[in-house]
Amino acid sequence: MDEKYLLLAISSLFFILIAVTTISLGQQEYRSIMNASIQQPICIQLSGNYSEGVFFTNTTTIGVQYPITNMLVLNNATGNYYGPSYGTTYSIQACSGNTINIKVAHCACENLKCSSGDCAIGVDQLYVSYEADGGVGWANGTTATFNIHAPPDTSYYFPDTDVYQIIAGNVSPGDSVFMRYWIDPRPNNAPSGVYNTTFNIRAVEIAQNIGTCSC
Amino acid sequence: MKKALVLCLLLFLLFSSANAQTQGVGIGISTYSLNISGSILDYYVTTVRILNPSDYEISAKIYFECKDCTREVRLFGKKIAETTIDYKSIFTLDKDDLKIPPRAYGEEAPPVKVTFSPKFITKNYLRVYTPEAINFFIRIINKKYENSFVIPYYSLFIGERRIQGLIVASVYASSFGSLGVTPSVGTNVEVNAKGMPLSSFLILLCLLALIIVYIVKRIKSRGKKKSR
Repeated sequence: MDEKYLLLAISSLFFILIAVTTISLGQQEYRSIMNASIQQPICIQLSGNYSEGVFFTNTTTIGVQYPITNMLVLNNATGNYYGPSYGTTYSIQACSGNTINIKVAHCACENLKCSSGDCAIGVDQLYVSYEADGGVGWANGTTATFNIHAPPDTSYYFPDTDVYQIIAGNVSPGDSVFMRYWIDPRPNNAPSGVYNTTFNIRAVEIAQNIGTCSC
Repeated sequence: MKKALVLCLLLFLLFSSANAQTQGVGIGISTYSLNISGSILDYYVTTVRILNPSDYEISAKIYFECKDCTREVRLFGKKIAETTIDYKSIFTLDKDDLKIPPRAYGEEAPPVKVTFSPKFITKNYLRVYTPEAINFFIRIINKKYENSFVIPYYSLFIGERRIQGLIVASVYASSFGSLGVTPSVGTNVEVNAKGMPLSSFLILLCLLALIIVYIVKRIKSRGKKKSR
């Protein structure tokens, strides 16, 4: 007899629970989903000549690489004046699909090391950083024909190897940064030969840290 | 005369555009910033996509560049060691190398999954710097020895750990041809992971100590009973 009462009590409680749940669910009749998909990309595109690399030539030639013979002056990169109206062909474009402004930096992985010729391979080198006898310098502009024809000051030389240096602090979506490069070979008594290094470009959102250059 | 002028104009236009800016390689990431917060029992997965704005197929390396994973250990102001947390104990990237087709935006861009799942036990590395006086003797045995050695170790994840850095996508090859300049983009990552609270850890330690004391007492009392 007691068991029957217990069973009745449990089943009543069960039904009360179902009823309460149904009523409370009924009050939340119009339940819907809130959903948002956000895409804020960061993207860059280099020009063709820039992707190929920066090749230094002598002071007078445009577009073609010739050996450097004057070690005491700034020698051009082949693309410095190779574009229409003697504009540069080195550019980095912030994709038009970007929703944020970006900053762009470059970094030389090493000094230019001897790879062939009369120089000691892997030992002889041309320094990228500035000293009184030269270095590798650059200038930037907002159009291909920007009117700067030498590094504006010593801060427009590579600070060192494996260090990112900002070349454009604020580039809006769709805009480009145009670059020119020069080398005043250092040391001036570097032996004849071909000297190479690798070169990185990085972009981040303007407020972010550019990171470390690890080649 | 007119025809000659038109011809001259056409030739001028043709030559002036001969060296016009051709397109090179490019790269992008679908988001410029990621912020993830959670604790050891959480499991979040988010996806970033690697974009390719150029007309060439590119191969890219994807990696995390940590800004504050390494901390200095100093003794009387002198740096004697460095501890580095393995960020993979907190979150992981499922791919480190990708081929991205030309003009890959949106769904066509290959995804990289970022899985946030902090572990109870984290992997760390201890880099110990040895003094020059000792280095001399070590170099007799190992000529390549520089001035430090690394010991991996595991530790309980107690307290809170903030990890900042960049997810970097860097092009290393392309159907464009040989690359003289390699472009890369970085997405800022800020991860706040909460491990076991220090108070919980202390309570756990106390409980363990109590259990050990209880077991020892029981063993002792049994020993006494047997001897009687």
